[in-house]
Amino acid sequence: MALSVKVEAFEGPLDLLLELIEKNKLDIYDIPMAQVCRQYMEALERLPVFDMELGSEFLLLGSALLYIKSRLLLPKQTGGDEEDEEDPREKLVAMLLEYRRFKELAAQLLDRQRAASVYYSRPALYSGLGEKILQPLPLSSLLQALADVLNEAGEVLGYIEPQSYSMEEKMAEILQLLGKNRRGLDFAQLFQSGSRAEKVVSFLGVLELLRQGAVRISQSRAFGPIYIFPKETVNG
Amino acid sequence: MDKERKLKLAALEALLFAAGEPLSVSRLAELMELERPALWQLLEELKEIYALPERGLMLREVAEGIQLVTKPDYFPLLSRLGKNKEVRLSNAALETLAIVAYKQPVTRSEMEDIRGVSVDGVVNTLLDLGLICEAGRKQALGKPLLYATTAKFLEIFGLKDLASLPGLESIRENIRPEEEAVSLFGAEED
Repeated sequence: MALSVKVEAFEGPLDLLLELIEKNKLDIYDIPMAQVCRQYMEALERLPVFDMELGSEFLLLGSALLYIKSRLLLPKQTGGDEEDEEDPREKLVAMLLEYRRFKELAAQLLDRQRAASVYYSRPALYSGLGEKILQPLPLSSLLQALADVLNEAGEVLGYIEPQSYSMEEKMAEILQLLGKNRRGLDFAQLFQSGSRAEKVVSFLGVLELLRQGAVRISQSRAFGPIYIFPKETVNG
Repeated sequence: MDKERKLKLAALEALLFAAGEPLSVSRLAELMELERPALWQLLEELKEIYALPERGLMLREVAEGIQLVTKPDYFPLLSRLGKNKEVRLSNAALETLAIVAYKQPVTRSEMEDIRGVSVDGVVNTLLDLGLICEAGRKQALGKPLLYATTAKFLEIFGLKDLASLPGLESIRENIRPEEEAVSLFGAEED
């Protein structure tokens, strides 16, 4: 692939995509998805530093490209209404055109800025000389505003009870239950009661016990019930 | 020219010098205690005086006002004195600024829809530079803040007003109404 682009210079995924299209002189209204997908992914791999924030934006568009490519590969539904026939690239094209328009406008603005920079002005001698003076308001308005704020602040808010579960406690509890049910404990049973937070801690407790090797789990078939066993017992 | 008139011209010049930034005609009229047509007349006369080759200053119509500036011919000379208070914007900042300028008032998420990346950093930079400002809240879910350009934006980009933004004619018919923001992962049919 004789495509040489400097990825670090791109402002974002749309910028990169636009550059790929223009570099390869592709028709923006009829984008060859396979080619563009491949080159986009290759460009991503050359990203010098993976910036989480920006990287995820690049990946988002990348996955959108793959999605569109997959839609194009699927046979067209027959008998569907008109809307089904819509080219999946249409939205992408609209986004690219819109982005390109603003990129061009940004360039025009920069020209204006350069042209305007030949006029030197001096900073204001008196700050606020050009500012508008605020409308005079009666004291009563200020008091009313204060009353409104206090009113709003006075709203009674609900109180949320703090909930705390320690994973150690949960783990001990699970081991205790296992002690009573030496032939195995139904995993789902652990989560039948309690708050969401409690369930999360229970789940983490099972994972931790598993990691420590204190328990085993087994599932005989996909989506079947999961059983937890104490380590020393043999299945069944 | 009678003496009184000369003094008025001198006062107007002093005012524009002290202000530095552009002053609107109505503000100038208010400060000078003159009617607007009389003030326009004075501005015209001042302009003629500055048109003389021995004068290094000129009046510039910018940001909905009048500003006293140096003539562009002396830009190279003045550059030797030092750098102008230049605002250097990154491409990302310029693109975002363009979106605000042409679509104002606009929310952060509308800017992100167009640029395809987060704009938080650049919006904060533009706010710090005084090129954009908050302009109320949109009556939509979450009441997001709206942003618009400032008078400083017009001044730095040498624009008389928003109507003189370059390329405005082409944009009017082309810009999608904001409601139809495009999402690549739009709701699947059915």
